[in-house]
Formats: sequence, structure tokens, C-alpha cells
Amino acid sequence: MTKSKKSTKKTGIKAEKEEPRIGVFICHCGKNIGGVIDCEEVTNYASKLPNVVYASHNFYTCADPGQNEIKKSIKEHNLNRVVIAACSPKMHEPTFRNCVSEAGLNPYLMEMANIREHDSWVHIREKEDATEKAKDLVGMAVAKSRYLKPLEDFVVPVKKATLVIGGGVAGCQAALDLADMGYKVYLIEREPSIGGRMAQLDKTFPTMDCSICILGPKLVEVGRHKNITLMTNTTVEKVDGYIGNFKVIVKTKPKYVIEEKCTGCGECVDVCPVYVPSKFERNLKSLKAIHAPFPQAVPLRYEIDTDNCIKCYKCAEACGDRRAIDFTQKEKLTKFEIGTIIVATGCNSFDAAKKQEYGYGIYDNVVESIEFERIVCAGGPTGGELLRRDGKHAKRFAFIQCVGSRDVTCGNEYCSGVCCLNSIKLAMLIKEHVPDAIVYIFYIDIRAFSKGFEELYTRAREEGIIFIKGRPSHIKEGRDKNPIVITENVLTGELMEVETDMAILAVGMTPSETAKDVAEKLHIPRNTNGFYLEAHPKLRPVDSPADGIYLAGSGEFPKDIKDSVTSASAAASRAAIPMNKGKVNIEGITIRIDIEKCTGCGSCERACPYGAIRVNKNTKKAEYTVAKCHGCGTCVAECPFGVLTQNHFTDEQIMAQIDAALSSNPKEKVLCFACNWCSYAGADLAGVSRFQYPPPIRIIRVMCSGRVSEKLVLYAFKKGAQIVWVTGCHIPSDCHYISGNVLAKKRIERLQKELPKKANLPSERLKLNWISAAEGNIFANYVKELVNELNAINKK
Amino acid sequence: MTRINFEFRKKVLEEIPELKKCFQCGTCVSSCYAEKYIGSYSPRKKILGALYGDKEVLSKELWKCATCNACDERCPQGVNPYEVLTKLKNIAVRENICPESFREKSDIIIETGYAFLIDEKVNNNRKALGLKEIKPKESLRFVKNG
Repeated sequence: MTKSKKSTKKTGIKAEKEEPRIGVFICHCGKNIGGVIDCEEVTNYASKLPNVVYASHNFYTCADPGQNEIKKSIKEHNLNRVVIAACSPKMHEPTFRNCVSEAGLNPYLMEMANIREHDSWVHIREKEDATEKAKDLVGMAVAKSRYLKPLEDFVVPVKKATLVIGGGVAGCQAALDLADMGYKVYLIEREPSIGGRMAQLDKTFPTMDCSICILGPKLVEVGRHKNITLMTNTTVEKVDGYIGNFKVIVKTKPKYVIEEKCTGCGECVDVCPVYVPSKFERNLKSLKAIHAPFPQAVPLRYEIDTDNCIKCYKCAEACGDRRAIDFTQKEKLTKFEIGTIIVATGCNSFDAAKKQEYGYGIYDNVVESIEFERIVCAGGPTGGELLRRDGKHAKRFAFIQCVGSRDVTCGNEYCSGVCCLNSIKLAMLIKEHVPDAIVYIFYIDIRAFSKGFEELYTRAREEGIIFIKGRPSHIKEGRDKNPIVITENVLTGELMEVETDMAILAVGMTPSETAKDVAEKLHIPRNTNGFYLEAHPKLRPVDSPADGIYLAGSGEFPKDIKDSVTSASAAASRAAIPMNKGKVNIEGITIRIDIEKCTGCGSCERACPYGAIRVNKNTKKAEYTVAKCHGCGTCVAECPFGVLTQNHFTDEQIMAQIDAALSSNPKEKVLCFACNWCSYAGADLAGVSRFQYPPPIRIIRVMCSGRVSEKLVLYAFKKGAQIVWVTGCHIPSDCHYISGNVLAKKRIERLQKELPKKANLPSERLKLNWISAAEGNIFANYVKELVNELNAINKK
Repeated sequence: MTRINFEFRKKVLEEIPELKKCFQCGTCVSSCYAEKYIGSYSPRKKILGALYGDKEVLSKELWKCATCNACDERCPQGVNPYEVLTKLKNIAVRENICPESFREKSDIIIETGYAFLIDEKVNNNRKALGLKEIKPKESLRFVKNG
């Protein structure tokens, strides 16, 4: 570990000794802030605050002229602290840190006030209150800035290897891109073969290429690339560490066939007497208990389904001297160290049985789209014949769109984006197989937005496919088990009952069932639908909010093949940046120990999930390994003697913010501590989404809810806060620092009980809630409730 | 030509904000028993009419709903057409465009507590069937709490 050359020690030290000379820059952000908040009034207010020697307002502070003004003012007015009131620090903190450091100031001497996401965007109609709030927010930032100290980033080396989780088309593309760049790739897949959903498709839209024909060669390349270690039947067991230095343990389920010895001859299959349903063929076909998952599988190795195997050992006999069959195989754990992670866990199709009105699983001839994909495929269970359950050839087909998409009754309000074109593709394939077939597509809207999509939609109409606008309410079964689709034709306003031979439900896409587990192990957030959250929806679409972890494919949101591959290549190139640089800067938000006062009680050691702080048994003093520290500050809050200090979030800095927040009308405010990763980001999302909530809330950002000590909460009550609200990542596993939220819960719940004694206030005045980065609306609703409560308290 | 009556639209949306969620898929119509057996009763068109501020939606038609709740059960956007239609009925009553028979019936219930009264007509029918006469019931007064 080396100290960054970037930090400017000279000005830093100067700043520490000198009286603070603060410059305040208020951004209009066009009309985003200026349209609601009176920026001139806030500037006047700021210029009168103690130690503020310069204050100005600017149309766009982040643009070149704005940044130049900051740099110029630092020199002209000899500023040693800079406060920028603009958007969320999660948006532009790096920009402005760079800006001030270019002017020779230590980057940690810059503080932001979030007057856009937390103010102008959420109080659009309360202009005066929003301006008052902006004054408070600027006041809080100025107060904190007086106590800011120069800090230095740490530089850590980055291991030139990547873990790719998921071997669908996205995972394979990302793995190949990085392997071709020369990086080591570990590709793990929980199924016995890579290929994912794309391997199950017959053709792809809008070009109508054969899916497995274009995917197959890619899978083979993954299998034999010298830089890729492919592990199938494998899941993530444990992930530790941080960008550049992740330590991973993966678990591989046994196949009971030794991969290196199996030649793939298939003689064992011939003798196996047990049949099991094929998952790949959606149970429409059977396999033997010893089998390869499908003919194009990579790796093409056999495995034994031990749940169904009757242990007759005929396979072992047939294998003979090759000795590839080994019933004694056990689960295997593999450890490796990597620099970056790409998450490509993909999508599942929506479980059509959840929409009972369509009769999937009840009526014989109602199927869902992936099943039909196998029926239409020449390599599938029917050899491409469009056969019904009863073996008859189907001639009349109905596609029902939006099954499990755009539907709040099953919690999937989003559009899956691929089903319209997929149904059109399947309808065209039906016409190819059976030219006189009658095909209906029942739709709400046809979404054909990408290259070549609209053209395929036109061709489908030319082919004679009948499009009926209307979402069927239900399907009933008529004679010969024919599904009858009942719908309103919205364009004529009349009811229709359409008898068909086969109804195909165009099911939407839902996150893979492993997404929850993977997200918990990697500590990356998901949205309310279970899709991974990106660091920024526009500008960082393939980065997860956690450094060094990237998102590829439809685990982030439903994508077609082209978009999956695009995002995978993007994720690979994003992951290559730190690996190519070979080093990465880690923020200087670490801790200091006042070693004289340390009693060696071990509270900090118990609080730290990374083992960064330990008590030396001989000296009875805490010892700190900065390289292991992630900067949550939980140890600081746990220390009963106040021996520890978290840099950049010191007690005196946070208490100065509390003072400023409650300097006027403290009884009319709710004071909120929000963790940087979940709840502060959730409040930002409320802003971005313009979810309006009442203004009397003042948010103080901490890195983790675990940092909120008893001392800080009691101080806020002492200063007159009526309600103190602690927020963090969802219990138990969303915490960015593994267990900070669990300790926060313990501490805050204990303090709630003791509040009558310690602050002479009822327990209900101290609140604790979990809000994820995806829960902007929930944040806004909580604030509404709390402000109602505040008003009720004040009425009394 | 369809013209949007913004004044009435505003009034309706203030009272029934969930209307705005409707994307006109027609699920409610093919779920609807009134549409199936009586015809010309389309919850979708009523919702569209309300969104356009068309006062026609308050017409007699509104009262054909069989209150089976199937539309609420299946609506994919949580518009809950059944509840929307009930709220539209409330507006219709306030605007005094409720069918006379509904008003008469509600008056009877409020006054007597019975949906069906035993009157001379009932007794005449009974007489014709050879049943004995029954005494008209006394009205039930609604008892206020406390």
C-alpha cells in the first residue's frame, strides 16, 4: 500500500492550522434548483455565515465555467474550504473533488449540500419552505466544512482476474471479451451446461437466425479458451474483500462422472433403465438418469441424477476401463482471488400458473412461450411438428401477450420488452411450418422499438397473422380440449370468443431465483422487482453501486439477446479499467485511534466484520490494518470510551451539522441519519422520481447506519430535535459493510428503551427504518408519516 | 367528435384518482357479466368517458353492474373498475341523474329498514295463491350509537 501522490499535503496542513476561509458555491442547475429555490437569497444567507469569505451562485456549477470559477476563487480569496450546494454527492462529489484538487486544495476539504435531490425536486410546490431548507442544508455543510481535515487516498493493487457469475449468453460474452484481453476469467454456472435461456430458443428475432447455431460456437470457444476456467454445477459460496482484491469461495455439486475421464461416448445412456424429465426441454421430453443436459451442451459431459438413480451400476459397467463414473464424488469448494466480478445471473420466464384465469397447468393445450419454443424447434421433443398433448396437429393458435408483465396483480408492473417480438417471431415460424395455420396475437400494445423490429411486425401482418387489440380476461376449455380465448376487441368494442387448438402465453421475464442469494453474498442492492440496481440509470448502467462489481445481461432488467451481449461487452470493458490500470484509489475515509486512552476492551474488534481492528493481547491496545478497513465507522460508534475517530465523519463534524440543522426552530424538524449506500440513495431516488414529501426533514449522511452512536442521537435530542430518525440498509443482509445495520439495530433499539431515562423523552421519538436504494417512494411515505407525527407532537 | 370536458374531468379525477392508471386493455369488459348478458355495458368505455370528462358516463347504464367484482379481480393496473363504477354512481346521485327506482328503493330502506315491504299488493298475491294474510311489518328505526 502506497500513499497517493495526488494529495496536496502542503495546502492540507496549511488548512488544518489556519482559520477556515470558506467559499460557498450555489448551483441553479438550470431550472432544476433555480426554478424552486431562491438561489440569490441562499447565497446572501451563506455569505453571512461565520468563516465564509466568498459566496456566489452559478447557472451550472459542474460545467466548465462553474468549475473555473471555483478554481479562480480558491486562488483569489485564498480559500481553504469549499462548500458546493448542488446535486447529490453521489452524483458529482468526484467531479468537485477533482476540481478543488486541481486548484491545489486537498479534495477532502470540499463538502456538498444536496439541495436538488433532497430539496428542490421533492418540494416543487413549496418554494419558500424549500429555500429555507436550502439555507439549513448549506449551513450544515458550512458547519461541517470548518472541521474538515485533509485526507489521503490509498492506492491498492488490482488482481488481473475476474469472476463471471452465470454462463448465459451475457456471461459467456463478458468472459470471452476479458479472456481475449488477456485477463484470467473464472466462469461459474449453476446448471450442468452453459448456454442459458438462449440455448433453449429456436430462432432469434428480428433476423430469424437459428439460436443454437449462432450460440453454439461461442459456447465451444468458452469451453476451450486458455484464459477461462469454466466451472458448471457451481454456485457462489462466499465473497470477501473489495475492488481489486476479492477472495471467493465457490461450491461445485458433484456430477458423479469424472469430467476428465468422460469421453462423451454415451454408452452409459444406452444401458440406463431410468427415465427422468428433461429440464432443458421443459419436461416435454425425457432423459435417462445418466445424461448430458442437451446435445450441444458445453462441457459435453454426462452426469447422474442421483435423486432418481436406482444404483443398478449398469452405467459403470458400460463405462468399463474408462472408469469415468464415480459415485463417491462429494461437493467441492474452490478458493481463488480476483480483482473484479461480473454478475450475469440472467432471467427466468414468469410462472404462468400464477395467472390462473389462463388455465396454464390446468388445460392441456395452454402452453407458455419457452415450451412452445421447444415445440417449434426441429431439435425439440416433437421434432418441430406442431403437436398438441393429444398428438393431433394444431392449426389454430392464439398468443396472449403480457402474461406476468405490465400487471400489478402479480407485482410485475414493468414491460418485459421482448415478448411482443418473440410472439411475432413464433407466429412467423408457425406460418413457415404450417402455411394455412390461423394465428391470432392478442395484445395491449405492440412494442417494436429496436432495429428491424417494426419491419418484422409489418411482415407478420403481410403473412396474414391476425392482431387483435385486447387483453383476454380468461381462457375456457371447449370441446376436444380446445382452448377458447375470451376477450374484448378494444378497437370494435365488442366481445370475442376465439376457439383455437393451442393457446400460447407470452410470459414475461423475472429475475433468476439465484439473484437474491447472489445479491446478498455480494452486498449489491436489487429493486423492488428483484433486478440488480445499477450505479446510475443513465451514465453507469452496467456498474453495480459496489466498486469492482459489474452487471451483464438481463439480471439488471429484461433484455433481448442483442442488448444482453451489448451490456456484457460493456461490463467487460468497465471491469478491464481497474485491471488494466493495475491499481485503484480507495477513499481516505479510515479511522484514527487515540492509543493512549485505549483500554483494549475489544468492542471495536467485535464490531468490525473485516478483521481490520484487533486487540493485541500483549499490549492490551487496539491495532488497526488500514488495508482491511472499508470505512463504515461502526467500530467508532461501538467504542465505549470515544477512543476512535472516523476520518471525514468525525463526531465534531457531525455534531456541527446537527447544531446547524437545529439552529432555528428545532422543534419543527425531523433529524435523519441516512447511510450512504441504501437510505441516502433511496432519498436521492425519491428526488430523481419527484416523489413529493413535506420539507421539515434534515438529512445527515453517514457511511453506515452502524456509525450512528448513542452520543450523536442524544446530542440531537439535546439540541431540540423532536424526532430523530435512523435509516439504513435492509436487515439482515443488504448492508454494504456486511453487519453495520445489525449493530445499528441493536444499539438503536436499546437506546429507544432507555430514552425516557436518558433524554426524558418517550421511546417513540427515536425511529429506525430500513430503506433500500430502490425505495424512493417508501422513503417519501415514511417522511410523510413522520411529519404528521411531528405536527401531532407540536399541537400537544 | 370527441371533446375533452376538462372541468368535469378534473372533478372526477379528484374524486377517483385511480382512473388515471387505466391503459384501456379491455380485461374488465370480457370479465363483465353485465356486458355478456345485457350488452352495451363496458367498464372500459365508462372509464375512458370519465377520463374525457364526458357526463354521459353518469347515465342509467351505470346501474347495470351486477357487482360481481370480476373486473377488480383481473384488472392488471389496479384501477379496480368495480370501485370506480361505484364511485361514479355516487357522483351520479349527487348530480341527480340516478334512476327513480333506485332512489325509491333506497328511500324505503332508509325509512323502514326493509328492502321489501309487506303491503296490500303482496297480500293480494298471497290471497290468489290461497295463503293467509300477513300483517304489514312495523318499520325498523335505525338506532344511533349511544
